[in-house]
Amino acid sequence: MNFKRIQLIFLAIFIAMDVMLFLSYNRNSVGDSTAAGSNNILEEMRKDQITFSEPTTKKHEGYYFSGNNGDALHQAAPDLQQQSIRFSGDELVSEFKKPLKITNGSAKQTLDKVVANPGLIADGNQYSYSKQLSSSSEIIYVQRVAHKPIYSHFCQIRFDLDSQQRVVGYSQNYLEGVKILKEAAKTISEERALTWLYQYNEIPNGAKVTWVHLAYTRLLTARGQYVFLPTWVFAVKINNSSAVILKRVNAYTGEVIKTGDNNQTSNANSEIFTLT
Amino acid sequence: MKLRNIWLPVSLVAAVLVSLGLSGMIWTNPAHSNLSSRTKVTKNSDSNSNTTFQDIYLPSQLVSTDDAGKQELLTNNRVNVATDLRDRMSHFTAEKAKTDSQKNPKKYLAQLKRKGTILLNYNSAISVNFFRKAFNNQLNIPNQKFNRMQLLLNDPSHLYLLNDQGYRIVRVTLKNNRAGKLRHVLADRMVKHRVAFKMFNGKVILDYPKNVKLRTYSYQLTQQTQDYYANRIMTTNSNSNVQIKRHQNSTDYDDHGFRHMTIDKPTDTVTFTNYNSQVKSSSFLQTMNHVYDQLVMVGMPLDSVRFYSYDAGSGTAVFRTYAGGLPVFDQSDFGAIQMKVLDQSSYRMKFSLDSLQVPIPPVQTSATIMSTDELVKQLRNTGIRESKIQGIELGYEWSRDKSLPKVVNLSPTWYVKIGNQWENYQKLIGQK
Repeated sequence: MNFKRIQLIFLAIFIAMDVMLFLSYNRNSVGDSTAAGSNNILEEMRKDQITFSEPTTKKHEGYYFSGNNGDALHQAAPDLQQQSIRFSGDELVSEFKKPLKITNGSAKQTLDKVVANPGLIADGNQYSYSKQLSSSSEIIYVQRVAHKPIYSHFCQIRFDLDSQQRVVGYSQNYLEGVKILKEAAKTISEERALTWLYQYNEIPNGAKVTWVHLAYTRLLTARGQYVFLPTWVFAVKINNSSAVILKRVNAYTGEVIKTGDNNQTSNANSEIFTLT
Repeated sequence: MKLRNIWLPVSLVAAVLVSLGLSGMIWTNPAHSNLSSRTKVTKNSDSNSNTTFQDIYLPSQLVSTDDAGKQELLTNNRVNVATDLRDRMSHFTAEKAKTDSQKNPKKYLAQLKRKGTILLNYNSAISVNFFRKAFNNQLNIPNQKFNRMQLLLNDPSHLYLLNDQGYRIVRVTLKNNRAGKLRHVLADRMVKHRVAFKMFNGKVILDYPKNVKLRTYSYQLTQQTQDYYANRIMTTNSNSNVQIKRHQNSTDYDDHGFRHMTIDKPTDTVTFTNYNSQVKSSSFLQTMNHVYDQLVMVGMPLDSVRFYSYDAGSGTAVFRTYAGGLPVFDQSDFGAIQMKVLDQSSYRMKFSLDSLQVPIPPVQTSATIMSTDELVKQLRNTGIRESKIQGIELGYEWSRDKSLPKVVNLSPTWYVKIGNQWENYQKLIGQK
């Protein structure tokens, strides 16, 4: 073996080593070069073919607050015009004497005016249109507290549409006596909530996260009052199904909120529920 | 011909250099650490650490003095005043510090009552280095102890560091401070209570000249399970051989070496001893860093828990639950968490399985508390001498609701420190 041959062998070995080192360097820097942990999980989610838009890392502020469906609507009912009203519990159910016609795509403009009219809807100024919760048969307005919407049956106006796209009536719940229970506290970021939801196996492979909102959710009832807290609400569309399922993550602790009420889908996981 | 002779050694040298360069890059890349195992861990270890070092070490009390000399205690209503203030004042830098006065209680009291100021108070002395971290600023002055910080609303280029111990007043010259920001915080809506600083028994106390109306709170009690802590702190990766001994009123966990945990059932308290935990140095900042790291490691919920006091003599740090800016007493006989540094490599931590996370509507929205003078009078009438009283403080009493299970009511009341122990005044005057 001459010196030249030794050099050649060394060269081959070093080139092989370079290639290996380069590969390992490249692999290490992927996903980790930018702020660690959760990014990696987002990467994993993409590998599981979960579709989602890039989550924000901003932290928000929210409150714990309480309130209930008292008799404000009962008191306001006699002043409402052009409709026949009945109550089912605290819920006001109304039928318009003349159905409202809605041309395609103008639902918001038409109903915004209706909701803003105190002669037609009580306390309508506290509600705002929710595109995401509305469907082809129902248009939903949600009540807002501290600049954030409440996604709960207890704080909504639901306009019913008939087959000819006419608004025939509505049902309304109004949250009154809102009291802040604790000073504002920082929430976790959307990114954290999303990664936790994934890590708790709440997002099946191939699903699509269609929208994300920071909204209030009812947590429990105590001393006759509903207690709400800020939550990250994720709309998850499961592969091969048209149903959109709402998943809620406690925006303070990151826990997935289990709700027993409302109709559950046939899915084996009892934590999945749909919003009605 | 020459080129042909030389290409082999040259390319060999090049290949060696490239491999050296690449190895260097991989070694120096901070992200190189074993990532796959880390991501699995983060889920657990981060789940409760929404509370940062800065949050848990906020000043425990804020007092403002207006231009007319009226002093008020600022408490939270919608916003957390302390965090707001901290976030707004975090940008100044400082170089010069000069001791103004020492060992003069009269001058010290006058300084506390200085017009147009905000006082940020801690219950025990903190260091400049610690403050720099807790408030995230550039206070580059010699390290020293203080327990109050006084910001001047009309003079943005100075602040005072005050220490009750020795009545020390230190004047600091600031750069880049914008006082307008502070005024803005004070302009926000918040609950204010009329107070005045007073010397009591050679100690500075906050005197409430009139009755005070304070909010009451109710919380749903969140109880952590024994297994949660057993899994988190007793099962370290290398050693899973934990011995569990069940007694009538308690359960012992022991890993045959470094860690020991006892859970006391009647009081729901955990005593955790760790014999393998190095503290880098005994400076106040390092100790507090260490304490915070250990709290995160143990993983108890820290939502409304804040630093209360530190006793350098016994190396004991106490954390309490806070409600509306006031500490909660009676949660246990030590507060929410007590951590005692035993020596350079070990500590003992006591904490409660109970924590307060979800507030619920209280039965009564507020309660009225008598003035400090009235309190002292009542104490005197029951034969408690003033010289025995080590401290007086307004706080919340932790009591379980009688009708609702797992609900804790927090009602404001007076606490008096006697014999190094905080006691409810009602207990002292024999009402309880």
